[in-house]
Amino acid sequence: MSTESSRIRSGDLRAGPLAGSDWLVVGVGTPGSGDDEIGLALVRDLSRQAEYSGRCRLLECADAAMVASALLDWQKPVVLVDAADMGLAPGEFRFFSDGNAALTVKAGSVSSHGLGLAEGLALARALGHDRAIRIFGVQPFDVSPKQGLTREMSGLFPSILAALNKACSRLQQAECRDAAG
Amino acid sequence: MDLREKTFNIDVNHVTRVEGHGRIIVSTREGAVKEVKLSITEANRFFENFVKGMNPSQIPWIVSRICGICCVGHQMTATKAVESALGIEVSPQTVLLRKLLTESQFMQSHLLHVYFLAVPDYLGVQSVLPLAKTHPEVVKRALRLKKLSNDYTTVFGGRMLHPMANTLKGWRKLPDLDAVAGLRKRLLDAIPDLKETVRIMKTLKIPPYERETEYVSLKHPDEYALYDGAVYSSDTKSSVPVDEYRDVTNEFTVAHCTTKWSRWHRDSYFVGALARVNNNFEQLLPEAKQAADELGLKVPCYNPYMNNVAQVVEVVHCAYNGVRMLDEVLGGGLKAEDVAYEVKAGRGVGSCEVPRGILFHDYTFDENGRCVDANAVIPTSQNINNVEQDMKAFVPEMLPGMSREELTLHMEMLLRAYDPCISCSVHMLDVEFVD
Repeated sequence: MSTESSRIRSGDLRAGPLAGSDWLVVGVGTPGSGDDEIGLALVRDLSRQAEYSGRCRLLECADAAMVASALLDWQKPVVLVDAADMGLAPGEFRFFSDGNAALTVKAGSVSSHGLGLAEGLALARALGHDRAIRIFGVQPFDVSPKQGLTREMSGLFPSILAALNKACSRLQQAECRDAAG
Repeated sequence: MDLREKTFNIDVNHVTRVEGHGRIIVSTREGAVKEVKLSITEANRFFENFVKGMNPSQIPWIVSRICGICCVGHQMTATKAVESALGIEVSPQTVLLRKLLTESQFMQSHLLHVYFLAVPDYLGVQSVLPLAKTHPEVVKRALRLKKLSNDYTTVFGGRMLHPMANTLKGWRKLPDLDAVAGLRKRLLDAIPDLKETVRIMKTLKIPPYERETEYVSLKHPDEYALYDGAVYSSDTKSSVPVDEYRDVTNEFTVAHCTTKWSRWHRDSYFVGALARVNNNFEQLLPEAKQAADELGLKVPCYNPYMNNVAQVVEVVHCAYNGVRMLDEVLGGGLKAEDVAYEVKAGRGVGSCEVPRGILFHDYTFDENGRCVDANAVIPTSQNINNVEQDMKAFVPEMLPGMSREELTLHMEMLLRAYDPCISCSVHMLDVEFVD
């Protein structure tokens, strides 16, 4: 459900610093759906590191209403970590701002089973959520019903986690620079 | 346009804002209706086969996965069926907790359907997304109420989707009483939002089409039947035990649907919020009756579009009844119970009302406690026949005064009014080859 389609518009989507000083890393996904769990697994691992203490949240099986409610409640900049169909090779990842990618919002065809992350973000934005939203998207190998990640994704997990860690560290450094400057 | 000139085909290949894939086909020739069909083309789900060989306690958690919206209902109904098969009696505390969990899901599902799937029709927008721009307060209220009902389920079920706290004979982990008290306060705080929901609903222009049909729901002597009761028909004004559900549903197949159809005393019957309100109006709480009155819902009501109004009435009932039941929990406290049970061979049928109507589960176990047979009859599969009968009745009425586009919208709204869960309704067809 949370495997939203996204079409990357520009080639270079390196994220700039998050606005604000109290950002969250949010894992999004559905357990029991193969690589759709990647966001949850990555953020669970990240949360074990001291520097992420209190900064990690999980949105399991979140529909659009839950995503929008959470964003509006938190009112903080967020890094959403999720499986995303970006037309990349499986296992590849991208870090981008929600404003730099066209998330496919199924405005006319939504059912409550199908209202996913993209619709949740759109709903939160429409309701006035104006904080930065960064997305760390991972192209899944397989999201069909299955316990745990695919073997291929599990093999790549350490390198993807390192990349997420690096991306978040860069944001934190930028944030510190902003605070100092 | 002259009625005699009205020749067109409507083929809505994928009806939006319903759960699953439904198709509406309408064909008219020179003002005469030639064909009206509601076609369900989703693939079978095979849950009744998945559970074969499973042990009794696994089944309620597995069949909960039939649906992400009605997961509590499937779990409760399966739990009751399995307990019936094994001769397990449950305590009043367990029944109370199950009723709370059940009603939390009514609030979740109805609020989601009314605000996110149905209201956009009436406000002339394609979905809730444009509504967030034009009516932000309405959508924010919807989100608040939805979050409250999600949290309600979490307090009693352990998590919002596919709860794990309920098991055979009782509760694996009892709800935290501080969380229960917090929930009670939030339900009371939400009353202004509920009143505003009724006020908004009152402003919507419900299509005025009526067709009298048979209304089927659970009925209980002491309460508005959601968790328990016998199967009641508005035609006979009497009930039959849930064990006799096959004589109620009389499932059959039609060529254009992968879901089975049902009929009881006539061609089709209606299950869901409107059927429950029609059959059990007197047992609604006074606040819910008042909401029905404000919304112009007088029973018996034969307008299927009013099902959305009945859903709002039930939300009000569940909110106030929730406070009453939470007081009971807080007053009496909760104690851990022994949930050990013994397996034996047997068959059991369970039934609950779920948001979309009456649900039946039926399991048979061998002497080792392995499931050897299973059957589930879902509300949407019981309703599909009635939706198509409504369409056949309404299209000729609507045709003279409506354009193709208006007729299409009204057909989609009709299907959406029933709040169908098509994904749940598709079941393995029993096929017997004859030599």
